[in-house]
Amino acid sequence: MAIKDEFIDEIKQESVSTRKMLERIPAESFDWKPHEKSMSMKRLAGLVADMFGWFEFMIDEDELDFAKGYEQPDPKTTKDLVAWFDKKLAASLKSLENAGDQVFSEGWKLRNGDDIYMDTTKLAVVRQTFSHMAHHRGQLSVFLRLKDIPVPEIYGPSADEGSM
Amino acid sequence: MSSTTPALSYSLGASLIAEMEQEAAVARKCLERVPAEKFDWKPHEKSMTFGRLGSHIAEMFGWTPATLQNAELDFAKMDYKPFDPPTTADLVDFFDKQVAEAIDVLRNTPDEVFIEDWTLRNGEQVYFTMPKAVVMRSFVMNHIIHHRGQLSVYLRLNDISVPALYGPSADEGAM
Repeated sequence: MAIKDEFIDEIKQESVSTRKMLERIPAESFDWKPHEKSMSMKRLAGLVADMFGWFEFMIDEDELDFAKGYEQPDPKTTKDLVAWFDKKLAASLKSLENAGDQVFSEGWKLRNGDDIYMDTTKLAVVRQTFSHMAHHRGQLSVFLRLKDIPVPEIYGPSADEGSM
Repeated sequence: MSSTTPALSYSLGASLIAEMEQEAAVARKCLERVPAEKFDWKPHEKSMTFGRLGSHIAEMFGWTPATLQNAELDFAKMDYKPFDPPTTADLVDFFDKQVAEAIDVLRNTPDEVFIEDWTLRNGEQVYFTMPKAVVMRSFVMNHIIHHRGQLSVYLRLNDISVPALYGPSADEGAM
């Protein structure tokens, strides 16, 4: 089993419930936030969608430097949001498909010019990104709940869907 | 694991221990901040209460022995009683015990166990069968993180300071 196989299975699995959630977020709720210190629905949903694309630069590049600019998602409609997710997921899958085992032991940095936030291996940062995604998608599930949007099954049934 | 045909390219147990210790440290910081007088609070009528969500996160670490020491979990054979903590200290204490046991089991699980299949079922109804490695990654770890993400919103909505998780929160940590 190649290292990439585990990640390809996992991203495909994680993408199913994520896409269902994104499809249900109406554009009218994009500016809503549950607390003044919270991200807006658009920002959080855009972040979750965007994270599915992070594997592209984590595998194909040796660093991400914020000082060089980063294109943030700015969806105007639900369709835009889902399209961003689909594009990002496809890019990550392409990079993962082409990744030999040796790639994962290469180093990877997150930086803002001279400030280094993270100096780790590609294996560690890819691994951590799955956890980071589940974290923000968990937050998004509460945002959906608070806006009375049905929450899909994620790891098991929600109060709306699925049964055990 | 055979030395000539390795099924996995790195030690899963070791990498899971490192990951679990890191995730548990942050989860503990969140749980310590849940006040007992808010255990019955919920943000929506369909939501779990603050206390239930906290104890669910704690008990999920205990799914590690259930996964690695058995071939299946059958709800039909289970006498499940959710832990109902009287105080925050009880919640954290329960959490610490679950985490310690999970780490101990991971430390004593040889790599070949992780490629064995594990089934979640309710009598005849099978929900899934997956290798234990995938169960640990997805059904246990990502699932814990999912609910801890929900708990972070509960903290926010109650004006309780949110710890830095993967990066700074609006309250703590800096980049």
